Amino acid sequence: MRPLTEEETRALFEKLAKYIGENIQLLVDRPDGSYCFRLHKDRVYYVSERILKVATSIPGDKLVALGTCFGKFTKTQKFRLHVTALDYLAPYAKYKVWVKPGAEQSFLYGNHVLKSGLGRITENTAQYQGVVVYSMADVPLGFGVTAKSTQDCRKVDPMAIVVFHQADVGEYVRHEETLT
Amino acid sequence: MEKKQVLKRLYVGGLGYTVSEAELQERFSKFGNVTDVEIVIRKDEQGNPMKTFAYINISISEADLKRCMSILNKTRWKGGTLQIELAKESFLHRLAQERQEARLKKEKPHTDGKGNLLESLNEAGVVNFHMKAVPGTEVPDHKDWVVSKFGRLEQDLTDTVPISKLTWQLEGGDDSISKKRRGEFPEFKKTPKKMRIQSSEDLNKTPGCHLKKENLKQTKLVQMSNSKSTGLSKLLQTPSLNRIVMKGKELFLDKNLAAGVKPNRNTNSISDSDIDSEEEIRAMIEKEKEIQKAKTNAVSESDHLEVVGDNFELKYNTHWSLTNPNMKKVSKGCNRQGKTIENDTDYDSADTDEIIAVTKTPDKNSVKTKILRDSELVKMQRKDNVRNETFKNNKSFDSVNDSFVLSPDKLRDKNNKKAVHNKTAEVLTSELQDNRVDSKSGSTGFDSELEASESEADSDYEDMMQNCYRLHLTLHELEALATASIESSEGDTAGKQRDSQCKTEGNISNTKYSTKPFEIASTTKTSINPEDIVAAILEGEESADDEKPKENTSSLKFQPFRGIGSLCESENFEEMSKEGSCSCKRKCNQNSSSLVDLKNKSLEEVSKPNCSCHGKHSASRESRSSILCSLEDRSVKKKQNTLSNQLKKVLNSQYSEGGSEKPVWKPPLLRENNYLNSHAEDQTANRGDSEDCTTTSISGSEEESTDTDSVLSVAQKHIKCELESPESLPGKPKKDASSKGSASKFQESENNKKSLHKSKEKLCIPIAVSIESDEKEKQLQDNQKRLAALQERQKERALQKKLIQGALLNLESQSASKHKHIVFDSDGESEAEVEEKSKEEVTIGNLPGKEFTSKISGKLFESSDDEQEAAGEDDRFQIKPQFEGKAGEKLMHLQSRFGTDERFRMDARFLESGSEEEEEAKKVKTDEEGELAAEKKKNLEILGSLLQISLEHPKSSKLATNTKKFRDINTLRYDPTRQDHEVFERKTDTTEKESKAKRKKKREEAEKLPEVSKEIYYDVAVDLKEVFGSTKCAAEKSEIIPWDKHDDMEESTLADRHILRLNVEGNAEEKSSGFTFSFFGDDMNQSAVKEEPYKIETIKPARVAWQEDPRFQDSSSEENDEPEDSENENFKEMSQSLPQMKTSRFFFFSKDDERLRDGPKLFRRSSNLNEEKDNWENQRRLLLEECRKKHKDARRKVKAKQ
Repeated sequence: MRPLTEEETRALFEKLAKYIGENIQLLVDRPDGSYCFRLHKDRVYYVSERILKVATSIPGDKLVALGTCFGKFTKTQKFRLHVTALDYLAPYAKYKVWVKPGAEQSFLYGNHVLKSGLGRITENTAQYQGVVVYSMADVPLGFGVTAKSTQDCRKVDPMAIVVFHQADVGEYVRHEETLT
Repeated sequence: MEKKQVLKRLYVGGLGYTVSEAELQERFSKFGNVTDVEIVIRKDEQGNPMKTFAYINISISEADLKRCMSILNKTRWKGGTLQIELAKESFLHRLAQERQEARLKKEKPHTDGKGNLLESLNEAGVVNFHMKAVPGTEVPDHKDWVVSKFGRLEQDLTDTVPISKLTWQLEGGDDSISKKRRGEFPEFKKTPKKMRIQSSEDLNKTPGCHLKKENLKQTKLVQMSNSKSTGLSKLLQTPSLNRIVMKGKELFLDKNLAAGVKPNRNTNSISDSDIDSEEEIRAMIEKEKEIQKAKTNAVSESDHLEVVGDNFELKYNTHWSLTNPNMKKVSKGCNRQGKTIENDTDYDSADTDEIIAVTKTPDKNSVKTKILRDSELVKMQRKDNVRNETFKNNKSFDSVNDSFVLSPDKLRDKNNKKAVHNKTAEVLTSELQDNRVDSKSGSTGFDSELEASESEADSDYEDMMQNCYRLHLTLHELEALATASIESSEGDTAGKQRDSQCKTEGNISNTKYSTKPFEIASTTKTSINPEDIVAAILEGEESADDEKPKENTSSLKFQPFRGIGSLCESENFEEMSKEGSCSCKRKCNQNSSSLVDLKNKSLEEVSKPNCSCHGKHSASRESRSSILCSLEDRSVKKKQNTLSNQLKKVLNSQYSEGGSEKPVWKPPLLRENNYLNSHAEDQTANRGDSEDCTTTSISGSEEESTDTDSVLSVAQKHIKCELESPESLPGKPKKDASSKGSASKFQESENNKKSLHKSKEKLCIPIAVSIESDEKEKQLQDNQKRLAALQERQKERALQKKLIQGALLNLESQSASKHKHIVFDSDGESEAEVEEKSKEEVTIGNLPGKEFTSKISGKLFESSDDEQEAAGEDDRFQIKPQFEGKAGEKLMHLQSRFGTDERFRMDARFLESGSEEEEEAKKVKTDEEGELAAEKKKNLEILGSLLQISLEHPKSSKLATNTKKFRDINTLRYDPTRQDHEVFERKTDTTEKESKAKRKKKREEAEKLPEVSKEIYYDVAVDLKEVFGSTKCAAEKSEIIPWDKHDDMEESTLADRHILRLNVEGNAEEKSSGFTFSFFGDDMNQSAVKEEPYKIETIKPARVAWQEDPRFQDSSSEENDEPEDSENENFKEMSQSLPQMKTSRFFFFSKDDERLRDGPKLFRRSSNLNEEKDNWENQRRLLLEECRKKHKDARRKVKAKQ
């Protein structure tokens, strides 16, 4: 467990900024206590100071996880967002996509969102913009990246992919062993 | 499964070799008739049995076979594991069968041949194979044979479905066209048909014409009554159910004195009505289906992409946003919505169940609906009577109809009784369904009623009928509810019970808005326009009209609760418009409050506003007030009662059923309770809103708030009672009776609060007295609950008071800011209520006096108490000065160890100096915090750089660091290994470079300028004659000067010095030199001039990139050093001659001194252009390379460090 290097922080923030933009500063500089990012076994954890202090008493090799996992760094030092970050990012999401009840399951099985399953989308969403995917009941389902901008979404045919799947809450079941 | 037994041959393996045939037979005879058992034993060469199996011929049904397989297969029996399979038929059997079949085949043509066929053909109309029959007709006695197109007979092999039924099996959607294709026509097309049978003038009227509908309806009614009257003669033959119906009809006829009795059509009309009702049901069902489908379609078809703005608010909120109170409200609203939706779904499921049931028992239903319709007519009749004050007749009619003696005084009683009678007459299950259907039609009817805005005298009659119909329904359904709950308790599933519950809710709604129109109708009499009637007829009776907007009906049908709200609202408005405009505002308030109440169904509040409304009403017209009041009150009461009834019934059933059934019943009960709870909460929430707009005084509003509180507690109490009372329920009525007096008292005290309310309540009370015992009990129960809740509150208040008084003994009261403490008070109250809940005890006792303990005083005392306490505590816990700080803390710790004995008191002397440790610890702590803070800062910095945004908070910290580092940089050298320095890397680099370059330049210029001037001097000296050249040069120079100036800012002093010199000396020379070039050597000059700008241009960009002074760079060759030196001398020489030149050439130079300054340089460059160019370019290349290399190195270093 160690703090992130600048490069890592940059990578992390770049990724997070795709979803919540400048709202990252609300994550970094929280009024309800100090929170920080910690790297442990290639995973980035969002930890409150309190937990951080507690966790320091546990040896690194024994420590499984702490705080909330936001994602992990790949071997090529790219940051990959995990669905566990959804709870923290969803409230701040700038761009949202709502999927219809019929397409919900498909998305939760790891598939991309097709136009036919797209119920609602935030206006002015750019292409390749990170979005939080919601069900029509406004329950956050996961992360995605728009394959088409909002304007293109209108025109595109129903079977075209409009949102690339990034992470979904189905992973809690599917990838139970790797999610920490 | 089919009972048909088929001969099967089973293979039974895994037998022990001791098994005998008899045993097998015995074992398998349980499943079927075993005809033959054949045991096969395989033996090896020694004759030892290896394998034993058997074939069993058994005539067995499919179900039994399965059972047999499942039971016996893989079971151990006599030392082996049985393995049963279906075997092929034995050879002998097959042979026998084949032979049999062959024989049959041979025989068939003979037996089935011509004789019979011809006969039947004749019957079918085919004579000698000449076509007489219509193609497609079936040949009698011969299945699947039809007359074909050409008169021949063809066997219809494709489908076993008879032709006549084909039309009914057309596949298709539920739209009107496909329905028509299937032969199912909307209801309104049937009515004219019937009219034709009845032979009236309306025969020629087109069915689709809406304007005629009214007339049609009327005639239909007349016809029906006629038929019924004639049915009177057949009274004895008809079944009992029909008899009642006919009686009603007959009476109706008598009353109305309708003309045109047609006795011979008697039976026909009855059957017609049967069909009619059947079709009605079917149409209704279909419509419902349609609506359901439309609903689902609406959901599925709304796949147009919705684009929302950034500020789109989510219904669901994640944890952070949930803390927001507003969000809570939203979520609450969501819950409510969800609740209604849930109800809807219940409703739907009930509907589907009902539909199934209806389709199963269409005949019964038709009868039932007929009865209902008849009774509707009866009701209408009664209504008529009410209007015409012929009350007695009606009663007698009722008594005749039901063969019961009814209490003549109260309409309500009568209705109830009647409902009871209807109930007893009908089968319970079908009754439920009927009620369902009725409620549906009733709701539709009411929907149409809503559209009423104008009045017409003719249609009043129709309206009356509608109203009566509804009234009947409600009463009927109330009864149905009761019976349903009982029935369900008698052994149905929980689902059914749920069903009935949801139905009761629907019924409640029905009662609400059905009784109201009743009142309205009776008061106003003329308030319906033809459209309304048409709509009513169409929707109420036929309900399959395509032209009707389906949304309205659907919403009403499927959403009882939402429907109620809207309906009630409109109802109230109607009422308002009718009652007058004198107190519009107040009424509005009341209406709104009543609407809220209706929605919430709070037990107490419902009665209040309605009553108050009514009070005004009665004041305005006293003649009818008594009846109306009773009606109105009844409606309110009924509503209350139904609610309580529901719970009671459930509980009753629970009680009667005993322990085994309890778990089944509990959940719905709980749900119900929750429902009530939520309503109470909603009410309180709404109350606050409504309070704002009420015109009553502040005290009044306070009273109201207390009321709402009491209501809340009532609800809670209610629930508590219900939860508690399964065992003590039978005893309850007695209690109620005993507490009746107190209940009325309570009511009166309440009435004192509101004058309007009071009068109304008083009206209520006599009615309450007069109602039947069960009704009384219900009401009393309600009252008792209210009372109990009130007492709870009082108790609680008394407790509060005590506490306050206790606190007051020591402290003086201070009237502080009330607002704050109101909050506290309410908190305390809610807490107390929670406590109350936990207590779960019902206390009965009247303490009216304490109810009026003013809240404000309590609050005051409480607040003062709090404050005082807080002050005292502050004093007490003030840290004494000697104990301040860490050391002080330690001291205090030491002191605390030795008690208060003065001799052993530890003072500061004993305090060891552990401050270092503490400080260290503090340091560590601060270090940690600082680390975190630094990390945060860093993160924010990165974020800021990443997003290119200005972060306010981090900016300050950034600035701080910047200032710090600036100092460092000034003092220390740039450290590339430190990441913090990276931000300033570029900056420092550039400054350093610049300074270097500048230094170089300075040096160079210092050397160069003389040189340039020297060279120029020679040239210029030769050609210093003309003035024109200077102007030409000036044009060029003017462009360059500002540029030069711009770059030279820092070294202005140096440059100025040079320039001053240059100004003087060079002006004359250079101008003339420029001039000489232009005039004397045209070719040369031009080439030089051309090259000049070219050179400058090529170099300029490089200079800019390097941020170097271009002019200085130009002549930055080291080789020029010597000539520059010499030039300096020249400058000095020239400076002496400056004043002369200036005075002489004042006309040219005074303006453009600066141009002249630069002139020499330009001139010099052009003079030894090629040489300089080469030099420069070589130099430049080298320099560039060097610089790049350095840059690269630096970069690599930085990267490596990073």
